[in-house]
Amino acid sequence: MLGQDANKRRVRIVSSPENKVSLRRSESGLLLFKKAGEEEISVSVQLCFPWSGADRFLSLKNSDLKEVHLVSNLMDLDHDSRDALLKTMLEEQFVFEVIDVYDVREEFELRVWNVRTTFGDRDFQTPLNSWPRELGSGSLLVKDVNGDVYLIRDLKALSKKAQEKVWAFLDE
Amino acid sequence: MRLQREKHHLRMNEMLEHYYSQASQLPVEVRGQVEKAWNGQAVILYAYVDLNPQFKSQEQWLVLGAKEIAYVKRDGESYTFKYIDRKLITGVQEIPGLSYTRLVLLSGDIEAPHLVLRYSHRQRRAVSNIAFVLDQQAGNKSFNGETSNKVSSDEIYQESMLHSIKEAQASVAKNKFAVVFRLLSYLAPYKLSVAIGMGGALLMTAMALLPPFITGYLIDSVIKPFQTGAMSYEEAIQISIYTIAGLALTYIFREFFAYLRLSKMAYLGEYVAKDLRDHVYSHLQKLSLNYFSSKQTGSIISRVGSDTDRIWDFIAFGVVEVTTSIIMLIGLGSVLLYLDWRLGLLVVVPLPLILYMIFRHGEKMQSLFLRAWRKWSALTDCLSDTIPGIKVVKAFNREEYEVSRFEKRNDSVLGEFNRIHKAWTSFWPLLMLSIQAIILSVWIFGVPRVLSPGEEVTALSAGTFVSFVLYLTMFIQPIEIIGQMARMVNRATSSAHRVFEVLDTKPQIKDQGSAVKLEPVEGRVEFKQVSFSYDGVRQTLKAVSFDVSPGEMIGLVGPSGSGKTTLVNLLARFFDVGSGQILVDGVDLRDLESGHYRKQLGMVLQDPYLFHGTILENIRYAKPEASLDEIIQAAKAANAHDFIIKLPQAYDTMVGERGHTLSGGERQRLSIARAILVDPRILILDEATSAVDSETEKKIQDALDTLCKGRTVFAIAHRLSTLTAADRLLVMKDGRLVETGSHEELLRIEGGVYRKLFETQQRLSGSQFLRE
Repeated sequence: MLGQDANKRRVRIVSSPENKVSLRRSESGLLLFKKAGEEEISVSVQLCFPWSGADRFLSLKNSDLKEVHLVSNLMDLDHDSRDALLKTMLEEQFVFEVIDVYDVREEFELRVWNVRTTFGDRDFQTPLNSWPRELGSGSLLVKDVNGDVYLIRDLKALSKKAQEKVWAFLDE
Repeated sequence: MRLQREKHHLRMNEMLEHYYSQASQLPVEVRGQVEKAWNGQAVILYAYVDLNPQFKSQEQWLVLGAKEIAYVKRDGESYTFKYIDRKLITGVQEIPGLSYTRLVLLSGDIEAPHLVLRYSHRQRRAVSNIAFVLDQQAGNKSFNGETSNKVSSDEIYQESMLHSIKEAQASVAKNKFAVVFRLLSYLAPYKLSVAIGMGGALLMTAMALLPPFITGYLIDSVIKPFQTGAMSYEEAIQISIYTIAGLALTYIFREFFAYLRLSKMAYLGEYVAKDLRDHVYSHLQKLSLNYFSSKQTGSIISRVGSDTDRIWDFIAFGVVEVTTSIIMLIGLGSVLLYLDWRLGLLVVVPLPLILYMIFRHGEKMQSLFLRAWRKWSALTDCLSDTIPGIKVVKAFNREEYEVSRFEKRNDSVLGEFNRIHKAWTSFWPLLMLSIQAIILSVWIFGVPRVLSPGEEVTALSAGTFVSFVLYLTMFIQPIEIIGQMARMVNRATSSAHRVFEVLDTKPQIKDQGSAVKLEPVEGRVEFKQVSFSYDGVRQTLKAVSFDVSPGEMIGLVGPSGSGKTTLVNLLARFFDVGSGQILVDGVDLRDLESGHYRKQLGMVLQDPYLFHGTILENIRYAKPEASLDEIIQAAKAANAHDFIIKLPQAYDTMVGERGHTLSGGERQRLSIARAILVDPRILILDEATSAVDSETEKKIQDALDTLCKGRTVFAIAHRLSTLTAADRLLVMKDGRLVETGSHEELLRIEGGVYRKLFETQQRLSGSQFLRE
């Protein structure tokens, strides 16, 4: 009984002309949002589940960082809007992707990581009691003291030496 | 002062280079060009921008001037410059992404903003400073665009860049040896004890080297000659007695020197730790409030406690053990090579390999301990989550889930600890086997030589061989200690560093040599164009001016974050003004002796703090010489006497941590009694009645009315009804003094801030009344 009730409650929001939205990118790379009958505004994209479901539930926020629209599925958008949003999403998802780990050492209450990223060689620091996060599917996420995010997308793709350096931070 | 600033600047440069490998300041070439374009007007702020539109690394700078903003981009070997009139910027957007922020300088045309910049979060604080100034200007929030004139653009940039690092860490010291030497300088007052302790350690080591040598002598010079008939029984016995007595003496001396070493160094370590604790604690008392707000309490406590304890351990044992172990190894190697260089080489040559094995093992163990620490943290996180949140666990019937989560993590911890045990239990037998292999090789190569005829060049006496074997057994301990040396030095320098960071922090509030004492303070207060910023950029107070007569009661009102508490913090001289002046009885606050001035200042805060001790001690805290009669009078005036005498131990009741629990209102009345006892000329009440019920508020208000009589009072209150007794109200908004007057005068201002606040509160209390 309960299952049937739950199914009944699952309502899909179907876009109608009144709530039709469109998105486009300006030349300077800003994402511009237009809702029928309203003025076009510049928005930013917040991924509701950046690691557990990046392609769904995208919150579009205005300059005051208030949500103006929630895109629950990219397929709900027309082709051009989807294209514009995808491009912006790729930017929003920018993280420093680590491709080699040269060294991880401790230095006065900080753990100092010396890595190679797709951005170039980089040093970053994490507090000693802050641990990297395993994302499953062989990825490792490290957040530094400034809030910058470093992603090792595929641990197995790292060199053997680099794998040894991060071994202490893995569950297995 | 200038020298200090330069030293600080150099340290910041070093830190930036050490941690970020990033330019420690705006390139001279860029600054020169920009300032030239601005007709010599100085750069106010600048920030580094590290991502280009393609999210690749590119050197870019955002530079703020008085009228323009410059965007500088490096293209190959040269820079390109773009200048934007600040007045043309209509708005600023800072949009944070996962690992970068986008800054948009709006132009009014949505399609064509002036500038879109992208930068990693590392740069965010520095860029945000500029964005804040531009946003204030664009929003016409009466911001003059000037930053604190005491701080240079270089300093603001460096502080912004290193803020997170410094928050997470004490500070930086690249050279560990410098820290160790500084630590050892604390031994200077105890030179004699150090000399005795170290001398004892060295002599103990020397004594330890004698017994094997004496044993060898006994075999070669007594036993062997006696067995071959070259020495008579009487002579052999006599020499043996002397030799054994000598051996006994070496043991006695050795233990005596060990006693000297242990006792002197252990006491010495305690003295040094005590000196450090005293030094750190007394220095902490001198530090300004912003030091305490920038550090976690636990971190400060551990510097006085566990860090000094680790330092004691290092000085008492570490320094001596490492020194004697190194000397012992060198001594043993030399003695072995002296006794027989061929066998000596057999032992000495593999030694570096063994040390390397221990070092490698240490590294592996470090990795294992790190994993175990991580898993252990996960386990304790589970506890710290569920124990305080047990109501939620039970309410959602998640006990089984929590038990299984804990068991899973516990299994994981077990796995890691077992891994550690496996690693060390397999390593040490292997290491011992290697050492025993060396000993075995000494036997293999030594025995044939002992058995060979005495006339052969390679012949070895039995005594020398026995000495040799005995010396070999002494190798193990120093090797172990040296193997752990790096870890020990790391721990000690890390602790020393945290302690020195406190000692090296300079108090920001300093009395001048010719500081004035006002006796007594009359209570005239004058703010003249006072501006203040906590970070050098965001102005918390903006050109605030007012006059207060002695005995006047001032109510400070305004929305949260309007600058009320900052204003009273400046009056208490917890911070010095950024610009302008605060005059008390016509004298600049910075010219007053702060200790003497604060004795005539009373503060009653929202959350009164009681120390662990009796009620009597807590009331007496501000005036230790107060008589019991004075205490009771103060308690009565504060409406506290009645509840105190209801307690079985009355004024001798223990309160504070682990003591009797008092309600918020009771604690507040004790703090008022404390303030009454001091008889302050200037009184600050910061939300003194905000956290209590109406009945308690009435009692506190009565106590405050007594306290306020005849003093200059600054009272902050959100509940405007509590300020009815105020002679005048100062209304603050966005760091500015926007309205002044009596309650009635302010209510008459159409659309005024006070009137709006009052009306909102009236509505809220009305609706609350209706609900009740």
